[in-house]
Parts: sequence; structure tokens; C-alpha cells
Amino acid sequence: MKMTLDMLKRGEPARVVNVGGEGALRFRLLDLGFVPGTEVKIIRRAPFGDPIEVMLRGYRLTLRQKDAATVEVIKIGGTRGAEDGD
Amino acid sequence: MQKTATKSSDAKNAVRIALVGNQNCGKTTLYNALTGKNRRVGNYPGVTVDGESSLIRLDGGECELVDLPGVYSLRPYSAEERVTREYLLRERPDGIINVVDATSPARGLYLTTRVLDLGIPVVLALNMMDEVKARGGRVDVCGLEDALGVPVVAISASHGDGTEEVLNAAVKAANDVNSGGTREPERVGSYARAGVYDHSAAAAHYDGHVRHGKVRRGIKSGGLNAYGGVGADTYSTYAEIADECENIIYTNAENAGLPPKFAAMLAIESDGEVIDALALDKNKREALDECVRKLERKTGLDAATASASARYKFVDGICRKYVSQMTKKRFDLDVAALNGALAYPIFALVMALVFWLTFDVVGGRLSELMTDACGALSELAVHLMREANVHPVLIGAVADGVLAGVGAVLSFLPLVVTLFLFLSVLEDTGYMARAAFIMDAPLCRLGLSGKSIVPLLLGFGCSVTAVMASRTLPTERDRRVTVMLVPFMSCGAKIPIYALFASYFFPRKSSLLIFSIYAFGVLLAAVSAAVLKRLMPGNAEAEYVLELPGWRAPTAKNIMRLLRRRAGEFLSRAFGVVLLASVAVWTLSSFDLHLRLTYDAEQSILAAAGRILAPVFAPLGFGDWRAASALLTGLSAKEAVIGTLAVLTGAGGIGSVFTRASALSFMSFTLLYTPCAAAVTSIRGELGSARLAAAALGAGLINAWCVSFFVYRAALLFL
Repeated sequence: MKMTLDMLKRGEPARVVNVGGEGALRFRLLDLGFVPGTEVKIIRRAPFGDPIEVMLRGYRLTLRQKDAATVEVIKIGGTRGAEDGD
Repeated sequence: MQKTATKSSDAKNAVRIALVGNQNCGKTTLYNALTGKNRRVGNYPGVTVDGESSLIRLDGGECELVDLPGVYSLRPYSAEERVTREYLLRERPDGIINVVDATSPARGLYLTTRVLDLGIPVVLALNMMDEVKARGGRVDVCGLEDALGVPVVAISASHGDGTEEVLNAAVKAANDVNSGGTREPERVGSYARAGVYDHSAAAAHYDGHVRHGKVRRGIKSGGLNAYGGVGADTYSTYAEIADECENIIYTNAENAGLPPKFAAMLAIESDGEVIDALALDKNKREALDECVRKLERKTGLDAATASASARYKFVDGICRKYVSQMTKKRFDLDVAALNGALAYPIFALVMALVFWLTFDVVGGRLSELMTDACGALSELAVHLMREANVHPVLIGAVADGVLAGVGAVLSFLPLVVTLFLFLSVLEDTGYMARAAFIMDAPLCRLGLSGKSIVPLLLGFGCSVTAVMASRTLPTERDRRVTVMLVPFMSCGAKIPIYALFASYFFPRKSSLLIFSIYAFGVLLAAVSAAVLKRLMPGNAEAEYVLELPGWRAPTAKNIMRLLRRRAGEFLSRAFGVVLLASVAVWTLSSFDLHLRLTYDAEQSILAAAGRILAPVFAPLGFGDWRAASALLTGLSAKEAVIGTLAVLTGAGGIGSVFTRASALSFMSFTLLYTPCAAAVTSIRGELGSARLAAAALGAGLINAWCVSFFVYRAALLFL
């Protein structure tokens, strides 16, 4: 089944497979480092469940669920967190 | 942009150095450290909303340093990011200081790969190295220098470490190229001569910046450790094809005045603007398309993804080789500040605390002291003038005009400065970004994005700053709606009005009353947002993608800088607009229509003018010409309102004009009516349409009248 970033559980490490979506937002996500192979995990969700806070490449980014849903990911085994563990 | 406006003859000979970096990487801190100027620096992505420049004297001449809005790439996403790209392409600075946050270098270095494409000499400033060291991290500066082929300087902008070195390095790099040296072969126009791109090696893309072959090994060994699922040769394929594209479009790019490498990269990613500017003929267009198809076929990725992947591979390789991870965690308050149950109570508590401390504890006390001091000074001045036999009319002008007006405003300086202090602490620590995160869902309901919270909160300080800050919003609609809502956030200049009325008419509940006025403004903003959502549906929903910066302790230096600046602005207003308004009001109220001096203000010119307007306000409870005149002068600056009232009411005080009910109505009216001239100008500028601005302001005025009417009627019933 296709898995997307918004579907991950909190703290569950995964890798980016593909960034879907279109337009400026897609470019922005690519520029921010969502490229295939990048490790990413969800740090927390905002009180209403949206937006979500994710960790990638040693920094933290917040984005809405519907935008996170354009990022296709694959879960990775082990308990190691995303790159920095910050 | 200020740069073009202040371009003097000096600036022409100066070396122009631009600061480029991600949002929140410390560009503005570096700019401040180098120029000693009080730019606003926050710990919120996107504080620099427009370019700003200043001239710096150096040993060997002058340097014009330009601070540009933070970007993540050179493909603009928001209006402020466009400023950066336009500046770099159109104005072509002589050199670039690329600031990279060393605590998370990958994203910064990704931008570096894009900046290098511009063919402008670059010096890398590795910022926040103090934090990296404190947290047990390490960066091999020499290795990084070799890998990127540009000078790298480790700095700590907030402590002022290494800042001079980085500027000197940038000026030197710029001068080396300008003096005709060939040390930086990537300068536009010298590609062919330098012959750098003749070899077809995998790293050709970065060779323009690498002078020794040894470096390429570093790039390859790191960059090509492939991740699963991606072709191992994404990077070399990309470099090869990018090179090919550059050859295809080279002459077109030169004709269009674009850096060829940059143009080639963006053409591959089908950036519409660049492709239009290149004006490729049919053959070249097809050749370009063929290149893109080849890239996509070979990498198995679409062009945009391939491009970003290749660059990140290069960057990851460098990072793995030269950057050792930090071992210690950062100080983190998010467990509480973003906790599901606590986040909103904390937000409410923080805001309440800010207002309570400002209006009651700190600012309130200081303001009382200031009032006493102003009163004493003014008495002293009058006494001295009497002793010196100064003409009574002049004494009147000074005492009842200048001193009364300016003094009334000056005594509120502590309140305003205190509020700015707290707002800036919220920004410096990183709490504003958290506020945006937790407020996104509620604001989304109103058709806004969490990002709007920052301009809106800044609106409590100054509408002009707030309107400017709305440029960080990505869509036109978000920007417009936010700009229209900013006037509902009661600005700092209105504080004196509320403080005066509240303490005069409701001395025991003044803090509560002032807080209610702010809350009332916010409530009306929410209602307006809901209405605007209907009126301006907009096809695109408000977007929200925002970096969450680490918590940082605000530095005293930064805060003192800001406070000095804000106090300076307030004082210059008090002694500028308010002084002029006070003298004008005194003059107009001391002479009658036959230009004879009169001691009965009721006979004065101002009274005559005010009486024309006064009937409009009669249903609101303050149909007095003095109130009308005060509101009129408030159009220039809100501080002038109480200055005018002080001059006009004299010893009788505002009690002679207002009742408790009409005081409430007057406060509501000042909360909602047309903002000051400076704010109107910037609102007009940001909305980009005089009609829209006029409609917004007109609606605001009608709204102010209606709301004040109901407030007055309700107050009559209950008070």
C-alpha cells in the first residue's frame, strides 16, 4: 500500500520515496530537502492534529497534513531516529 | 528597495556585497554586527522583508552591504523571496556572503549550490559555530573550502566572532575578479577562456568553483553513496546534462543578461520566467527538451526531483565528510509549549502576561514616573521663561502647545517600549513560530494560515511593521486578507489614548479595560476574517510550510538595539509630527477667524472647523469640536490625538469633554478608525490597488462609527 508522510505514527522513522503534488509547493518541499532517500519522522502533531511537525536533515519543519500527504514514504526498520535526533 | 533609493555617488564606487542565506540563519544578525545598525532580528523565519543596505568604510575603500530576505532556493515562493532573486539577477552584486546555519548545514549548503550557479564570487559564512561547538559538533572548515572551492569562514554573528573576517574575505574575492584576475573563472563571460567546462567529468557542474582535481574525489565518494531506490549516478548524470544544457542556451542567456549556468539549471526545472527570458528558437527548445527527457530517463526521476536530489547528494557527501554531528541536544521547551492540552492555555497566558506586565506592572509604573517628570520639567520651563520676561503669547505657545502636547505623548514612551520589548522577546526565543504552529488550525477556519499570526501579533506593536511582515505569506490572497486585518490589532501608538481615558474615567479597572479593548479588536478581526472569507474566496487555500527554529535565549545586545531603535522612532515622532501638530493645534485654537489672538478657544479657527465635523460624532456621544479635532490630527499619527486633547482641554482635562459612556465610545472609535498616514501608505502599497485600499479603509471607517454607536448606547444603559 502506498504510504504517505501524514500517515506515519509519531517517532516512526521512514524514507522519502517521492514528492507528488504540483506547483510551487512541490518545488518548495524539494528545496527543503524532501528528496528520495531522505530520512524523515514525525515529531508531533499540533493540538487539533494539524499541522504536523517533522524532522528531516537535522532540522524541524511544520506543514499541514494535506501537504504532507503529497510526500510518499516507506517505513524503515530499527529504532534509530531521523538524522540528527535533535 | 532602499538600495536603489539611497544610491549615492559614493555607492557607485563601493564594492557591493549581498548577504544570502536561508530564513532564520542569522543574516540580519551578521548585517547588524557589521553595520552596527538596528535591524530587527527575530527567531522567526522571514524577518527581513525587504532588502536593506548600508555603506561600510574599509581600509581599502568602501563596501555596500545588502541584506536580502531569506530564501531556500532561487525559485521564488513568496513575495519577499522574489526580492532576493530579482536583486541577485538584475543588480548583480560584486560578491555574495552566503550565510549557512552550521547547526543544520545541509539545507543551507543546498542553497549554496544554487548561489554558486550565479557566477558571482561567494564566501561562505558558517554561522552559529559557537552553538555547534557547545553541543559537541565539529566542522572541517578547510575540507569544506576544498569541496566547494570558495573561502569558508566560521563565525558567530551574535557574538561578533569572525564577522570582520568574512566581510574582508568577500571584498577580497569580489576585488580579485573585478581587477581582471582569473582566479575565479566562473565569472560570466570568462567561461570559454578559462576552459573550465571542457572536461566531461561527473563533477563538471561544480568545477567552476573547484580549482584542484583532488576535490572531486571528495564529492564523489560522499555524494554517490546511494540511497535505496535511487539510481546511483543521479548526481553525475545531472552534472553532465546540466553542462550540456548550458552549452545549448549559453548565447541566449548572455543576451538575456542571465548567468548561463543558473539559466540552464532553471530551464531544466522548467521555470517559466527564465525560459521566456531565454527566448529559445525551435531547435534549441527541442534540444533542451531532449536533455530534460534524457535526465528523466537516466535517473528515473522527474527533472525537478532529479535536480534537487543531485544537489542534496552532493551536499550530503560533503556533510558526511566534513561535518561531525552534534552530540548534545538543544534546550527544548516544546514538550510544554506544543503539548496538546497545554498549548492554548500557555498561549493565552503568555499574551495575558505580556499585556499585564506592559500596562500594569512595568510600563504603567514607569509611565507614572515619566508623567511626573514631564510635569515638573514643564513647570520649570514656564518659571524660567517668566523670569526671563518672555512674551506671554510665546510662553503660552510653549507651555500649552509644545510642552502640553509633546509631554502628554512622551509620558507614554515607557508603555510602548515595554510592549515592544515583550513582543521581541517572543520573537527572539522562537515562540512566535510555535504560535504559528498551534494557531494554524483555528486560523485555517477563518481562511488564513498560521503564518498570519506573526503579522497580526506584530500589529500590536506597529501597523507598518506588521503590514510589511505580511510579505512572508506565500499567496496573494493571504497577504491581502492579513493586511486588511492588521488595523484591528490595536497599535502601540494608541496605547496613550486608552491609558489616558482608562485611568481618568475608570481608574480602578484601567488594566482590565485596556485588555478588553485589545480583545475586542481581535474579536472584530475574527468576524471580519469570516466576512472576507466569503467576499474573497480565492481559489488557492492559504498555505503553511514553516521551519520551526530551535529555542534561543534572547541576547541582551539584540534587545537593547531594538529598544533603542523603537524609543528613537517614538521620540522622533513625539518631537516631529506631534510637536508640529501641537503647535498647529495651539495656533489654530488661539486665533479666531479674523486672525486675532483669542483666549476663548470656542472662538478659534479650530473650533470653527471642528464644529463642522462634530455633528457626525454627536450620535457617538462626543459631538464636541475638540474631540473631532483630536481625531483629525490622529490621522497623521495616533500619538497626536492625546497631544491635541491636552492642548485643547487645558487645565479642565478630558473630563470637560467626555463622560464615562462617551469615553468608551471614543476609545472604540480610535481602535477602529483609519490608521495613521504611514500605515495607510503601506497598506495601499501591499494591497497593490488603490481601490481595494480605499474600500478597506472606507469599510473600516463605517465600521468604526457603527461599533462606537452601539458601544455608546450600551454604555448609556449600563453605566
